[in-house]
Amino acid sequence: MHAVKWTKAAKESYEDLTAKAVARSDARKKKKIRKSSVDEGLFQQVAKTISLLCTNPRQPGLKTHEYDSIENPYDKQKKVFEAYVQYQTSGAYRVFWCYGPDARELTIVAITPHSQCAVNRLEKGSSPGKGVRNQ
Amino acid sequence: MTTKTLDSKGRVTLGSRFAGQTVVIDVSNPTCIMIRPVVMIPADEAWLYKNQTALGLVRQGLNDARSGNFADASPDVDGDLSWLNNVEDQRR
Repeated sequence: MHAVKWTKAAKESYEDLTAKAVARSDARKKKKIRKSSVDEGLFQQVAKTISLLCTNPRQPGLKTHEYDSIENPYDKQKKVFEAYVQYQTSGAYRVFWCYGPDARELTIVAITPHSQCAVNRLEKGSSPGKGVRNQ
Repeated sequence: MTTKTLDSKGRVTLGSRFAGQTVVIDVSNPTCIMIRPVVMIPADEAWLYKNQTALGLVRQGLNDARSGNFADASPDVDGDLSWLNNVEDQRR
């Protein structure tokens, strides 16, 4: 298991998703709506992805693959990876990560929406569809 | 600017400073051969460069990593998952 470092940018994205999920949950409870919101579903998938990544970055459900067009921030000979929070959905999220800076460490570089559609809906204050969850 | 003559096979050398670069050669204009250096991006990564929000987040993250600008404390992901599971349980 790797020790995990978060860039400030990645943590900000995570906290933004957290805040939205908490807000939706509170609003739903006030209205006594039982079905969880899209924001809560998305946040659960992001948190689960991060948890899997920290435990086993090679877990098949993460669909982790190398990102050739991005340079590793610590070592140009090494890679940056992308893990799927969701896939086969227009609102999918991605987690960019890399090994380092030290041995047995892993850095969460960024958590990003995948599509412009997801970005637009995010900026309007709602979230994209749930998509396919990691197993 | 310099003048070069192509050999019998239509080849010209640009010099070692261009070595290893990928270029696009545009011969659509019969009076002009245009050579433009390009950067190749895998097709499945192209979305990132079309999505300014995502690209900005990744670049900021990479800058943070290079400069050692890490979060003081990691988010409590396991705690968040517990909270989410409790929400699910209450929903049922």
